Amino acid sequence: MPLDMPSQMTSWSQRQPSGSPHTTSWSEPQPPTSPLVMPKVNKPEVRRDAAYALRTDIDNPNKDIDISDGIRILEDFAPLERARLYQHTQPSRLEVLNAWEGAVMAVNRKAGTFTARLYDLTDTKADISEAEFEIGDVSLNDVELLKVGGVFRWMIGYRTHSFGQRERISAIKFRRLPAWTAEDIQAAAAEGDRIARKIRVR
Amino acid sequence: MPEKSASDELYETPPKKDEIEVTIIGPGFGETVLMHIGDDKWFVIDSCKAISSDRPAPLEYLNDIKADPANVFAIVVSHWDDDHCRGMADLAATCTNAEIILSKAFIDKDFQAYIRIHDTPLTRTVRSGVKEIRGLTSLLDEGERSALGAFPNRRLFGADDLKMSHGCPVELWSLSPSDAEYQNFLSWAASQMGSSGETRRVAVNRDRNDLSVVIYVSVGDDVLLFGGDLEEEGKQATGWSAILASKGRPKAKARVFKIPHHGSKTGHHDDVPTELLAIDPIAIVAPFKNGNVSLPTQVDVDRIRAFAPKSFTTATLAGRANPKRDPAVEKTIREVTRRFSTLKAQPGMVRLRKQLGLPAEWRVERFGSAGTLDRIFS
Repeated sequence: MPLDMPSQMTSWSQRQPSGSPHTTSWSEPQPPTSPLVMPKVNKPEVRRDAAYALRTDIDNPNKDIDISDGIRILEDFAPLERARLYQHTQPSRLEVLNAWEGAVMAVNRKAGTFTARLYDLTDTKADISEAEFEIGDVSLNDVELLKVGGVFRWMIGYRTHSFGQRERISAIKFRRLPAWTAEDIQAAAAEGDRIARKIRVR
Repeated sequence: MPEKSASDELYETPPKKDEIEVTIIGPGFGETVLMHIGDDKWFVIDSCKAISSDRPAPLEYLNDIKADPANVFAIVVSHWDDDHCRGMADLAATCTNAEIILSKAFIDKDFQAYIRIHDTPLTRTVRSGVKEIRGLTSLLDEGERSALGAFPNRRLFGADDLKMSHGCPVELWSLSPSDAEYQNFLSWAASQMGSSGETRRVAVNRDRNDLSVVIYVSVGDDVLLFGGDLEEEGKQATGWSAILASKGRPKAKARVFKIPHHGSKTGHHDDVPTELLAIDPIAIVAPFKNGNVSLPTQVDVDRIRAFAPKSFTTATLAGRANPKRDPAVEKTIREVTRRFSTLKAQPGMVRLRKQLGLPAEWRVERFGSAGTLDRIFS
């Protein structure tokens, strides 16, 4: 399942500006949204817990990017080769081996993990899975979305650069689903009220 | 007591009009209990999906034994989330004569608002978590069904409501949820309500099933107790403590007991075997397995068998093969996750039948991966 990856999403070619809107890694249509004025949300301070501390031990000059954008590089290049790629701007190609859509079931900040129910996107007949992930694998931009019921995509695949080098990656990206509006909340409350009055439970 | 692994012919044989039957199917995503009280009349507790098709397991079973879903007179609903009651909406829609028995908390305005706000998460494969309860509520909203509230010590159906040709009076009681559990549930639902500006989420059930409905059934002198998911916290106002302390509950002791909460110790109360069960009862467990978590444990099995030597399980907990994936995917899963498991629904079925009016014992049949509880790990 090869996908073209826009150059700005290649970790090596461009660092994500902080506070910029976060785009999904794969070309996919965004769900339709009504015009929304996104309220300013104070981003919670990200705790650099034990799980994160372990990750900074990885010998990687761009370790902040690797950890902060939700992508974990599992097969690293030698530093010299990495430096050459860093200057390169040709798009890389992403081959997805497996992808899941996940829903967060529980968050354990003390242990630095979250548990999720996973639905296989590459095989819709597959059984449902459950997994426990490191919170440190969640992009800094997505941490505010890490809540019970939060929805994300988890992709395992190979990214092939134009020189032919291939790296195996795991990427977790939370879905920025349309936010609930005040009208949604009011409509739900009104409907709840109507149902409670209409349905008689003897 | 004769036990057998039944052939297809035996499986498809429906109960006689003067025969009572209890069938427990699970585990799937959820579990289900069907009971035949005589005269082709059935009631169902909860739902799960059949493995062989996408239909609710209770409907599949009724179809297999050529029983008419129109003869289901009641459906008990004690779960609302999609992961625990797959097929419930479909079941309720098909059983056109069934009264819906559920806690009033399901129709509370705060919970209904919670349902609506989570109804359209716009996800591709992840279920909203509220699809089944939403479908059920729609049926009630459209006036297609009527609902009976389940609460402690309520006689839902009495002998005057269910006139049987076999002459044995039939009674159906709910023994839970307690007022405290009702309030706990609504407090939780209110705390989970979305807020303006918040990114949509899907609904996720909380671990404890506050609205578990314990059902007590008597058919003549035969008494059965279906423990649902009721857990014990050691508090007087909730769980089995609340049932044991309550006045006004029926006092006859049950000979058949559906063990609560997958046989785990959280569903156990030391006084239940002595206060609610007859000597040497038949116990049935629908187990649970998710990765490293398996219920019941060996300790649980030993505890259950101590008061119910004749105990059965709807499925074994023997290891199951994981699906095959690309080696690179398997390697990555091991590197990235602390724990990864695949939830493979593998329901089996335990069926009990008894002829009324004769000094007969219950006949136990096992289908699929069902077996005796002492061999649950084999």
